[in-house]
Amino acid sequence: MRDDCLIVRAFSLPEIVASYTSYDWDVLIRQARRGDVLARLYFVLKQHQLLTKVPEPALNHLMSAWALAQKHERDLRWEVNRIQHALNETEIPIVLLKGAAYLMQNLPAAQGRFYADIDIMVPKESLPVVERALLIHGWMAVKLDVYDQQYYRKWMHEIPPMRHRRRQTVIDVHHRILPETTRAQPDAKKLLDASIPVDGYESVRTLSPVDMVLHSATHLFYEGELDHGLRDLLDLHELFLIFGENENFWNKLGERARKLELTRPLYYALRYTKGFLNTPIPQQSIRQIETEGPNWLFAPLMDALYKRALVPVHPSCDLYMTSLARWLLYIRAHYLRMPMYLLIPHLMRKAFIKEKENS
Amino acid sequence: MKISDLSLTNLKQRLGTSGIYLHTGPFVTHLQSKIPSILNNFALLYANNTLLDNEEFADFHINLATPRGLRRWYRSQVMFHFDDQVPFKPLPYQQAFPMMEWGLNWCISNHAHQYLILHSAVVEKDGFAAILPAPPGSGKSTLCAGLVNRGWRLLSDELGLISLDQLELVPLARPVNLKNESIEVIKKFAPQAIFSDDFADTNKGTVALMQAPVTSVARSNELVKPACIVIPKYRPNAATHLEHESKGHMFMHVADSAFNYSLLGLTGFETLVKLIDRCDCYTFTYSKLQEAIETFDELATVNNTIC
Amino acid sequence: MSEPVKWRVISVFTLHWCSWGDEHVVYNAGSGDTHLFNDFAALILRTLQEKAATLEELSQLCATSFKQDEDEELNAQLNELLLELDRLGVIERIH
Repeated sequence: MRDDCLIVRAFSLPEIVASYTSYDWDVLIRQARRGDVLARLYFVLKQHQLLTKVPEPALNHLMSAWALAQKHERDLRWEVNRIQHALNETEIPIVLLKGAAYLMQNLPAAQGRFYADIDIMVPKESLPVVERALLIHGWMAVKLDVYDQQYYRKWMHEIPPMRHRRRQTVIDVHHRILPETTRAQPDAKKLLDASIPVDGYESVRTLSPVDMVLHSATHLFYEGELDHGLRDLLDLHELFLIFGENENFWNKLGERARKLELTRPLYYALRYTKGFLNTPIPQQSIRQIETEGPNWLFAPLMDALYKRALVPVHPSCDLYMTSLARWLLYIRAHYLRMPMYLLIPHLMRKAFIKEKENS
Repeated sequence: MKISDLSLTNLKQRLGTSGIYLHTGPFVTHLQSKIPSILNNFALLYANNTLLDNEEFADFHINLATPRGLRRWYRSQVMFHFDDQVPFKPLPYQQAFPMMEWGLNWCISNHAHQYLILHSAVVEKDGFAAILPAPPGSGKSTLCAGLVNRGWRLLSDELGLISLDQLELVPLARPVNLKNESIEVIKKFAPQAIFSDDFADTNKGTVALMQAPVTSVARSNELVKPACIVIPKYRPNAATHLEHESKGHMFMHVADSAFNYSLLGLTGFETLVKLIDRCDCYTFTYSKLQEAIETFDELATVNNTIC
Repeated sequence: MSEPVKWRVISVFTLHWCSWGDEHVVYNAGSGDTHLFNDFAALILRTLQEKAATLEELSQLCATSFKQDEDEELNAQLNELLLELDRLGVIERIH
C-alpha cells in the first residue's frame, strides 16, 4: 500500500535495505525516528542478519536507538515488579495491557519498543482498593484541571493516571479497554476471565493471545492521534506472526471478534497489516471478515485515510492531503468515543450523518 | 575543502538554500540558516573545518530560522529545527549562534548512545588525556580554554565521548563556550584566540565562543585513551591544589555528570568501571589560570616519564 | 509468636559489584540504580545475596566482623539500613 515509503518497505521486505543508498539511509533513519520505530528497525535487521549491509553512520543511529529501547525495557520490567510489590497484598489480579503485556510475555512485538505509561486492567469493583494501595506505595494522582478530571472520571477510564513520586513513572488503571461512552463495548469480564498468567509473577496477567490482538486492533483503529500508527501496525504484524503459527488461532480470532463486537477493528487490522507489511494472513480469515468492513461507499475513503495516516509523521512520508486525512481520523476517533451532542455540531454535522448511516 | 575556502557570499547562498555538510568530530551535520549572525559567526569560528561535498548522509539535519507570524518581526525570535521537529522553545533572535551550538550539543547527547557521554571537558597533551567532569560554574570551560591555548589539544569543552568497546576518547574540536568574566580572562590570556560576538542576556549570562585551535581541528580524527580524571573547582583567591580522589567517589561523580550513564544500564556501569580503574583520579582547586596550567603540564610530564 | 522478618537480595534481578578498598559501587540491574556502599552495607548485602537472614542474624554477623557490641544502637543502625535498602529496591522481605 505504501511502497513509496522507505520505512514501510524496509519492514515489509527487510532485504531491500541492501540496495539502499546513503541518501536513502538518511531519509530512512529520519522516518524511523519520527515513527518511533528506529530501535525496532535495528531489531528486525538483526533478526534477518542484515546489519552488515548497513553503512556505519546509519548503524550508529540504529544502535543508539536500540540502547534507548533497552533502557525502556529495563525500566518497564522494574515498574511491573514495583506494581506487583505494591498490589501483592490486595490479591487482586492485574491484567497488563499493550506494550507491557508484550514485554512480560517475551513477545517479539516488545523488541525495540519505547514505553510511556503502563496500562493495567482490574475488575471494576477493585478500583478503589487498587487506587488506595498505589497511593500508599508512592503513587499520586496526576494533577488535572476540573475539565480533565471530569473527562477521566466520566468519559474515560474512571481513575485519572497516577504518577510515582520518586520514579516519575505513570500508571493508568482501567476497568474496561474502551471509554464508557464508546459504542462498541467489549465485555471486560470476558476479557478478564480469558486472561493468562505471566511467568514468575503471582497476580500479574495479560490478555489471551486473541484478546491481545483484538485490543491492539481496537486501540489502533479507534485512535485519533496516529503518530504511532506504523508502530502499532507493526505490533499487530508481530502478533499475527507469532500467534498465527497456531492454526486454531485464526478461527478463535474471528469467533471472539464477533462475540466482543469488535469485527470492524479486526477487519482493518487484517486488511492493513497485509496491505502495508505483507503479513501472512490466511485467505479464509480475509474472506470471513470482508463483510465486516465499511460499505462500498466508505471503504475507499477509509483506505485513502489510513494509507496516509499509518506512516510516520514526516514530510518524506506525506502524500497529497495527508494532513486532511489525519484530521478526519482524529475527528472520527472522538466521534466514536463520545456522544454526538458533545461534539462541536457544525463541524460534525455532515461527516456524522454519513458515518452514522454507514459505519 | 575548508569553510574558509568559500567566499562569504557563496557560504551565505549555500546556508540559505540547500545548506552545507560539515564534519564535527565523528558526526556529519547538515546546517541551514538564513540568519546573518549565524553566517558571520559560523564563517569565523568554523573556518578551519572541512566542508563535505556531495555528502548524502547527515547525522543531524539542523536549521536555525525565525518563526512564522508576529514573532518574526516583533521581539523577534529564533527557533532550532532538528529535522522537521522543534525540540526547544525559541530564544531571542540575537542568540541564534549560541543556540546553534547548544542545539548541536543536544543532538549529540540525545542521539549518540554508541558512546558514553560525559558532561566534561577533555584535553590532551603528548598522549596524556585528561577528563574534566564538572557542573556549570566550576570553571572547567575557562580552564579548558586556558589549556588549549598553551599547547594542549582540545577534544571538547562540554561533551566527553567515550567509545564503549575500546574506551577511547573521541574528539569533537568545536568552539569553546565561555561565560561572563571568563571571556575577558581568556581574551587577555590568549590575545591571538579568535572569538565570536558576545551574546548578552542568555540564561547563562553573557556568552561568547572561542574558535577551536586549528591543530585541534586538524587532529579531530585522532582518538586517545584517558589517563586521568580531574574535577576542577574554581575558587576566587584559592591556592592551586591537586588532591587524589577516591575511586568510589569519583565513580559516582562521573556517573552523575554523564548524560547517558543510566541509559546505558549494565554497559554504562561496566564501561565506567573500566574508566575509573584505568585513570588516576583527582580534585583540583585553583584561582590562577597560569598555575593551573603548570599543574596540568606537570601531571602530563610525570605520567609520560613513568610510562 | 510470629516468625521474625527475613530479608534477602531481590531475587529476580542481578547486582553487579566493583570494589576499590572500602568503597563498593553496586549496580542493580532491576532498578537501573547505582549505589556507593561502605564496608558495613557491603557486608550486609553480600550476606543477603547468599541467603536470607533476619535482623538478629545480621546483627550477630556485624558484631563479629566489626568487633562491635551487639547492642540497641547497632540494631537500630542495621534496621535503618535494611529499610533503606528495601525502599531502594535492592532487598526484599520474604514470608
